[in-house]
Amino acid sequence: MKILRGKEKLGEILAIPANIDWDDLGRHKGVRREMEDFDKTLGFFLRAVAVILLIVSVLGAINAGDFKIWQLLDTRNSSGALFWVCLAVFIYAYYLERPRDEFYDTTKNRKLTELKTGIEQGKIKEIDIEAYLSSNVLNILDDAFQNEQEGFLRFVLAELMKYPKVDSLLLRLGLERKEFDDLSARMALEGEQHIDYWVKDLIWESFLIAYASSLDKVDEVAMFLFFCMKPLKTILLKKDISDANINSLRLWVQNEAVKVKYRNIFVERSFLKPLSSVNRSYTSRYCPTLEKYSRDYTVEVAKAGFMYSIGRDKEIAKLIELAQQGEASATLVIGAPGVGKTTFLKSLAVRMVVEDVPIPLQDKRLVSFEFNRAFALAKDIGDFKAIMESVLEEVFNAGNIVLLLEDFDQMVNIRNAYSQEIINLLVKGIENYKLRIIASTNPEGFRRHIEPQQALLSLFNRIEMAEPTDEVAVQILMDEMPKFEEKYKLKIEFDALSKAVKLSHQYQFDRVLPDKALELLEETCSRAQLKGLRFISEHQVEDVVSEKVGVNVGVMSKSESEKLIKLEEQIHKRLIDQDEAVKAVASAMRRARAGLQNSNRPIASFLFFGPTGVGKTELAKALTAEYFGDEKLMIRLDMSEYQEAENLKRLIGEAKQSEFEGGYLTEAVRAKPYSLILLDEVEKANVKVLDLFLQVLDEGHLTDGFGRKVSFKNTIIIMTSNASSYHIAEMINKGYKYIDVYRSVIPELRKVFRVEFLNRFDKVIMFKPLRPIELLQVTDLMIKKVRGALADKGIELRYDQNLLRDIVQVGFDPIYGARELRRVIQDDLEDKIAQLIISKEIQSGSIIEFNSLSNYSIK
Amino acid sequence: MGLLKNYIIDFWIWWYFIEGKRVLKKMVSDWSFVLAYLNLVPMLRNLFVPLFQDYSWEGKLVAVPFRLTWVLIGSIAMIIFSVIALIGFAAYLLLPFAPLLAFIFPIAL
Repeated sequence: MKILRGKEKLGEILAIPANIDWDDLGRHKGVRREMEDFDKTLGFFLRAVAVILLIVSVLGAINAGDFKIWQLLDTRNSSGALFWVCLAVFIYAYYLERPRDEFYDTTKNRKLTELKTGIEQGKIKEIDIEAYLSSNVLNILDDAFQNEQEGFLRFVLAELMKYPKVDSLLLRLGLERKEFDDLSARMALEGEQHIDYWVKDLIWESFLIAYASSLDKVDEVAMFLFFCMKPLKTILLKKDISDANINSLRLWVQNEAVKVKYRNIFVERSFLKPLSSVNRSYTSRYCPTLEKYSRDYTVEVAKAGFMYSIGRDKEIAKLIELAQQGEASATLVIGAPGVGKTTFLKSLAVRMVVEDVPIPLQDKRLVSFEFNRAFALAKDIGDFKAIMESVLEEVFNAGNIVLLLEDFDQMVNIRNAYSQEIINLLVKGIENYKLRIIASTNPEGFRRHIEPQQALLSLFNRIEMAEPTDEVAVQILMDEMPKFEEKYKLKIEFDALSKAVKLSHQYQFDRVLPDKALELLEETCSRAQLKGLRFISEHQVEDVVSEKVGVNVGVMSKSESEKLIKLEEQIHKRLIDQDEAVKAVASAMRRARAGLQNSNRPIASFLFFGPTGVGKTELAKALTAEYFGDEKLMIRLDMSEYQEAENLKRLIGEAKQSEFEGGYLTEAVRAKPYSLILLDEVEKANVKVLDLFLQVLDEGHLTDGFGRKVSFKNTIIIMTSNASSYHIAEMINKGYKYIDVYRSVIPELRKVFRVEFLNRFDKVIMFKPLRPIELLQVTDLMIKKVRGALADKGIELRYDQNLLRDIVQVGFDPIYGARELRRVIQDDLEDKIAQLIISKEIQSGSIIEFNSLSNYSIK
Repeated sequence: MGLLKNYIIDFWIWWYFIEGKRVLKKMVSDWSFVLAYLNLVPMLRNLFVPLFQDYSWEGKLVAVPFRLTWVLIGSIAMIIFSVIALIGFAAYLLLPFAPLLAFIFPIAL
């Protein structure tokens, strides 16, 4: 058995070796915990004894009469001597009861935060990992070493679970303690291996996790995270807890560590920020007009408490840098609604409250001018201009204000006729008064109202706030999570957060993160509260989204998977033959639902080609009904209407002078993001229109005429074409096999469509002409629909094969396929029945029997 | 040897280097808080800036003595606080020896 001995290098950080002394780590074997317990008990005992002795001596002195308090300092009397002895005992008891993470012993009192600074300053030449282990971790390791070599990991994990901090992390992963114990009992085989198989990873990787997470020490949380990332990884995956979930947990731990440190500074310093218009150096002046129409963000933040903007470190650094650049510094923050502009600006206010800003911004206020209120309360435009002039002048006179103009585009465009006057006023204000101004707007407002105003634009530096990534959005949700938990009295699991972020993309295309995910999460919480649930997991989020989009977005239920397995069968209930096409479609759908498709492309895309009237549209309809649950979720466009290049605008819309005309395709998909798009006669469309679909098929989105991104990720796209119809019909009639016909017509298809276009489809599917026997079956299906409609009126329709043959004989057309059959049924059968109903020859309870189109009887 | 280190040597190291450092840090933090509370730095920085942006000659005339008085009183308060803090820290450093000293040099009141 290999025993860990001596000093060993476990890794390095920025080329600085990190070592562990196994001899030292292994030699205590549980003694340290016993000693700590002993010390703490002894300390408590000594303190108690000292207090009792002190009380006894004071009481004794009082009893003896003539007691004066200062006699306690004089060692020449017994009570004085006892006082000084008690003081010494107190001091020593304080030492014995010290927090071990502050000082374990002379070798183990380092902090990782100090290590970070030391490395940055180049002061550290070697890292002694043991010095950074928390006292709890040291105790656990001691016990594990004492517990001999077998089941090392299991022992450590069991010990870790005794700490409440670790237990609360379990809850975040959505695991009950008992469930987790069962899972950890099945820990990977490596767990049973010899101690040195894992112990190095355990110590080194926990160290790295703690270091990366800005923790002070390698504590029980860091070790628990290591277990989740390595030995328990496969087991947790079976419970749908992925690496991303664990990483979210780690980021949460990290954010909390950073936040707690900043919060402590805030609590201390916010007390010093004046809550009135008078600043600390008494240089400011009262602003009567501004006070009337404004919100002081610094005061609001100082009163309301600490807030922290996650993932915006770069932007906030840039904002501070621009805002401090002398006077006449105007900054424009551009970000879509919901991207977190207000929180971002308030986080600047937090920095200003704690004076964690450069000197030019210290002792200043961040005040937002509410121009909408000013405009509403103004008597007329002249009055509003007077208010604005006063505000700018007052800000100049006050000298301690950073003026915030939110929704700046609205301000610039408050009234079309006066917009230029307002702009001139602002330009003059910024130039003459040399104010510090921060304005905010959204990209659309910027493009429409601010960008054209070059004089105004030239005064501003720009900061663009991009939509946060999914990972950052999850962190923001984590930060907001306690508020929801408090409000709705429930616990939110981490998987619910990542699911809320992921699914929010699937139906709220106009909005951005984190706002849309926060809204989804809040809606889920609210519904869960109504249902009396105590926990929110990803399933609750999925349910809410499924309800909104009308499609199950969650994990496949048993009934759904059965439905997918039997998809061919279901489609064939309404579509005769075309086995090859149905099979290809069903397979593609199964692949899509199993999550094997490229997540950025549409769910599936097909090109159906072949003669008309053979079931191409019917298959699309059947698929819509089966997959999306409702035939109405089919968007159908006749591509023969898009033969000219300029027709493109009709598909994607176009922005005109002052209004936007939506495109047929883009507006339909925005309204029904989960739908099947059927594009008929695609060969007739203009090449430029087809090019548009190259992007849709490849990237899964389009940008409409208004610059909005429209996602096609949740659509099935089917294009149909009659190309090569004649050739197909001819070969099938001659008895060629499906696959041979397919191979022979594909080159023909390539003449009609470019190869790169054909290659974009998941499957190019050929439809063959229907044979007489199949036509009879199709006719039968069609008449069954008529029979169903009549049954609703209480009329029974009976018919036999003669009627079917009759209809096929009249209706079959080699060019139009089964399409003519529908016309015949409509003209020769339905019309006849309708006349009979109107003339009251048949009514509820009647039976009408057809032997042929011309021969019928009524019972 | 282990017991001697744990119960005797480590006590002195802890008292003077670990706890002492913490006490010193707390003192410095309190000192800077008091400094901020007394507004000395902003007042000094704006020594010649009129109060409330009043640039009239009366305003300018009033500002400098006002700020100087503020700084003067504040500095006295700062000095008092600093002296108390230093005495406090010195007392902390002496505390472990205090019982011994009290026996050697009894305090006669």
